[in-house]
Amino acid sequence: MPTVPEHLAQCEHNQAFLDQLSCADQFPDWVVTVCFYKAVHLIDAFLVANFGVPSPDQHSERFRRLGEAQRAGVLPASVYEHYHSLYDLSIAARYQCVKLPAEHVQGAKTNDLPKVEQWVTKYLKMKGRIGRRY
Amino acid sequence: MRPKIATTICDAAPRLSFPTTDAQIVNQFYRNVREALPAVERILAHRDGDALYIWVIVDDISYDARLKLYEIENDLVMRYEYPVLMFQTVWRQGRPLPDFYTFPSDSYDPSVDYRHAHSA
Repeated sequence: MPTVPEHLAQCEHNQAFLDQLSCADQFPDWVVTVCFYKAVHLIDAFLVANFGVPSPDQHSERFRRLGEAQRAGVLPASVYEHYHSLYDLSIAARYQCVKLPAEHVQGAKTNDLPKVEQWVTKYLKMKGRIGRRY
Repeated sequence: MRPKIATTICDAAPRLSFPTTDAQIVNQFYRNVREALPAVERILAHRDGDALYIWVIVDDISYDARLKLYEIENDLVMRYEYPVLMFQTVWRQGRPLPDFYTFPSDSYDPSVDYRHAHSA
């Protein structure tokens, strides 16, 4: 199972792909999906660091652990909610063939993902799990 | 006026076999959402193993309303340790629900209990 640095490397990889999406307006479904999968690796890095067990292989298990971290007072509610927003958008775009309105895509890029990233980065720094890059 | 949707599901009596705790969770969620988010058309739930799946059906919804929805969902996550709560928004965008989404036929519909409780 991936380690914290491996999750963070994949997170950077996904961000690089997001930066390459020059025609993002034409592919809002893939924009939110890449945002979501970047968030998945951030969340998994947090879960591995916090629980000290391998990262979950199912979304339901990931949500269960996030709930546990919240109830333990480790994870702020807002991080859970923004992560859930990305999860929802990604499912809606890929499986429900929803034509995502621009405000949701913008929200994913400029609010949901940054909120998740900022908190996880801060947490991992505090725990001494990442270097200068983050 | 709200569009008519998903006539094939749960328009009859609530499922008697639906676990009581699950029903309490879903009913609480339904009451909270009903008061705060008029964009939500319907809620359905189904237990599968350790996970309680709750679908929130909307025609369309704003970004801010979605964030409010996650707040309400999270309130339940904080309150109930078990089971795993899996929420999913289902966006119709003008489409008839049965045309693009299939729910388990024995899904629980909290609006039935709500109407029953408020019609007495």
